[in-house]
Order: sequence, then C-alpha cells, then structure tokens
Amino acid sequence: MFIRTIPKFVPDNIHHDKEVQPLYNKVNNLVKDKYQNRLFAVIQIGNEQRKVTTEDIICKGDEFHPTIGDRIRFEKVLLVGSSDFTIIGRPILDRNFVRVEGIVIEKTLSQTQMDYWYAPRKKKVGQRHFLWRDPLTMIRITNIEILEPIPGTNQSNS
Amino acid sequence: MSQFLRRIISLPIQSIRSFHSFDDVTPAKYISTHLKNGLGSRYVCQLQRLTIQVCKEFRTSYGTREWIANDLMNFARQHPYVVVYVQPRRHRAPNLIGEYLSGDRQWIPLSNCDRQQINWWVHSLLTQQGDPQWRLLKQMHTDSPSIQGIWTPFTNKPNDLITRTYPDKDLIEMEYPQMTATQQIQELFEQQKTNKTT
Repeated sequence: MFIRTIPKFVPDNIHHDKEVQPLYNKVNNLVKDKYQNRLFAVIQIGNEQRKVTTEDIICKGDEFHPTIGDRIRFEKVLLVGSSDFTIIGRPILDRNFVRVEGIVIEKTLSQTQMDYWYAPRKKKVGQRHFLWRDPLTMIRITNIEILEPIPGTNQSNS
Repeated sequence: MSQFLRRIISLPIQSIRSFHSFDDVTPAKYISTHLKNGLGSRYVCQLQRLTIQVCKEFRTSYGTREWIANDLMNFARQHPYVVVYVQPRRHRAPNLIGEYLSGDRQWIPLSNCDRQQINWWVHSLLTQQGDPQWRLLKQMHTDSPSIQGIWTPFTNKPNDLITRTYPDKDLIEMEYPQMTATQQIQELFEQQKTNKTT
C-alpha cells in the first residue's frame, strides 16, 4: 500500500503573487535608501562560508594568490540582509543583483607549530620533529551593496 | 596528505628552525590593523625599509648574491615605496631585515637559502604588517557583531505565548503545517471503519 507522506505541492501563481508582490515592493523601497541601513552578507571563500559586514576583517587560513592591495569581488554570495529584511539565494544570489567587495591587507604566517613524535628504545629513528608555519591572508570587506530590485518581481528588468 | 606536501613546498623550513626561540611563549592576539588600513579600498604598504646583509665570498650567501644580481632591480622597480639597502659584510651570514611603519622590525637569517626561497622570504616580509609572531585567537574581527539582533527562543513567535491555555490548537498547527503520521493513521482507521460499515 502506498501512503503519501507529504501533501502534493500545487503551484497557485496568481494567489501567490497577490500575497507576495506587496512584500517584494516593500523590500525594494527599503533597498533604495542604501545609506540608511547597514547590510550584511554570507559569502563563500574556499569551501568556507563567512558572515560579513562592511569594515570587518576576515582571515583565510590558506594560500591565496592575490597580493596586498588587490581588490576582490566575491561572487558566491549566499545571503544578503539588513535590519529589516533578508534575501536568501538558492543557492547563490545573482551577480548583477548584489556586489560584495574586499581588499587584501595582509599576508602573514601563523605561529610556529610543531609535530613531535617520540618512541623509546629505538635508535636513530626514535625521534622525529617537524616545524611549519601556515600562511594566512587577511581580507577587509570594503563595501556591500544591492544594485537593482529583486529579480523576478514586477520592478525588475529580468 | 596534500596539506602536508603543501607545507613543505611553500615554506623553507630550515630557516624557521634557525630563528625560532622555543623558550618564549608566543603571545595571543585578535586580528587588528594599524590606522584602519584597507578601509574604503585604500591601502598603504607597511614595509618601509629592507636591508639585505650579504657576504661576497662565503658559500652561505650564494643564493642571496644570485637574487641580488637577478631580481633586485625588478623588485625595486615594482615596489617604489620600499627603500632597499644592500649591506656587504665580510665573512658573515646573510640576513634580511625589514622595518615597518609601526616601528617594529623583522629579522630573518638567510644562510644556505636558494634564490627562490629568498624571493619567497622577501615577499613575505613585504606583505606583512610588521608584528612579531603571534597566535591567532579568532578568525575574524567585526565592529558590528549583530545587525538583526541576537536570536532568542521568542524571536518570530507570537507575543501572547504566556496568556494562552495549553494545549493550544493554533500553535500545534503552526508547528506541524503538513499532515503528521498520527493524523494519517487516524484517517486510514476511519476509512477502514466506513468500508466495514458499508
């Protein structure tokens, strides 16, 4: 016997638009005064997702090709939000919709770390130690901005 | 394994061992910058002065001499904001000393390093901020930690949770918008009942 656990999803576009379009309009109006609200975003850097706002520093614990003073635009933006609204991408937001930029300010090394191995009663090969320092990259987020109204609404071009 | 290999490739390890002191404890710090460097996409290079101490005769400074002969002019042209001094010292080990805007200085011995390794160390000094070695306490730094407010169990919930009488029908429906398993079984039971009666 077959039991349907989840009720079937029936798309009701007309009804859905009636409810949701005013909400989209509200958010689009909030976006217009972009210097009033502080935005935050969730971006992906090298298999890590970070929540960032403007003027904050993030550390990437890995090698990174850009040198100091290079500007970077983060294109994998998963989420953008303000104090009043949150826009979630599925899985990422459109490139033309949101822009998150950063600048590389520092490329340093971490503290000296040691791998030490010791086995008693073994001559010559009983000790092994290995030193390393991981490369770190500090990136400062310079600006987060929303460029156009939300895609897929009446106000947007697309 | 790949991380292990990358460490070996990226760093000249022997020179770390030569200048790291195991007696001192490395201080722990949060991420910080001098004079809010990088704000508004404005960056100022922190390295101001680079001194290369080198011997003309010894084998230990062979790679350093090679680097000076081949790569030094290009480096100076590409980075005009850094003053480079070459200081020949007879029969002594080669060193690299960087002096920074904050007043700190970094010292790295370069004995028996290749040309490639020396290039790596010079660029590592160029990209640094000049602080001595420190332990990273946190991976990020923010001045505005939360924008939508800190989450509590009562965010996005109705305000009259206390005044209701439990079990409340509306709250149960909110928690389970879809059909639950118990409801399905109840429905099946009722269907069987109706079938039996008919």
